[in-house]
Formats: sequence, structure tokens, C-alpha cells
Amino acid sequence: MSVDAWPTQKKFTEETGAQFTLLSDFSKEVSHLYGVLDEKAGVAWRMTFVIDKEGTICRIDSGEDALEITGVKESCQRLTTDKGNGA
Amino acid sequence: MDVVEAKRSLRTGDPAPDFELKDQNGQSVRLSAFSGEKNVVLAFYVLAFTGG
Repeated sequence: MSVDAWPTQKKFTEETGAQFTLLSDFSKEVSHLYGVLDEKAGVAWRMTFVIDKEGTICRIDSGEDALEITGVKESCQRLTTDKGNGA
Repeated sequence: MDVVEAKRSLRTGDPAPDFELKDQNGQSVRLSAFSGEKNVVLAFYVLAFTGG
């Protein structure tokens, strides 16, 4: 997810061939809610949250760590064998 | 707010705040709709087309 408008996300999905849901937080409300909004720049920091079926946050990666998906992958595998839904 | 401070506002073990947003096809997606169904990876990135 990012603060891009959804038509931009659509184009981004088409160009990258992304196989997951891309959410548009155009109003920046959710970025603010999750404490990842850079108020000055008006964009969200790079951060990844792993949320279990009960809606509990079980992992948070930020910045460069969020680019390394091994931890997130392990975290997901630990949760269940169900496929996670990326956004 | 820097990243370290941002990370402090939500912690592991906290309930994930619910929200509803549009996906790339303009369809609404609500986080709580996955409750009891699926685990969710929520990845914030800076902007599309920036390599961020």
C-alpha cells in the first residue's frame, strides 16, 4: 500500500506484474493510523506488518529491513500453512 | 517522526487497526474481512514507480 491513487496502483500493478493486492491510502489516514506517515513529505515510510488471523500484529519491519523478506516469510510460515494476502 | 519513533506507536502483539481502502481495481478492501480467514502481510512503500 502507498498514498498513490488507485489508478496509479493499477498502472504500477500492470507494469510490475505484481500478483498481490495493492491498496491506495490516498487520504493518508491508514498510514497515519499505523504511525508510518512522514507528515512533512506526505508519504508513508517503508514498513511491513505481519498480521495473524486474529488481527494481531506479529511482526514489524521498517526501512531497509522491510526490503529483506526472509523474516516476514518465516513469520508467515510460523502462523499457519494458509497463504497470506499481501497488500 | 523518524522510523524508530514510528515503530514505537504500534508494537508486536497489538491489534492491527482496522481500515477500508480501495485496491488497484477500485474495489474496497477491509482488513477485518480477513479476520479468522487469512493472515495478512501489510507492506507500506513510499510511492509507486520510485523503487521505494
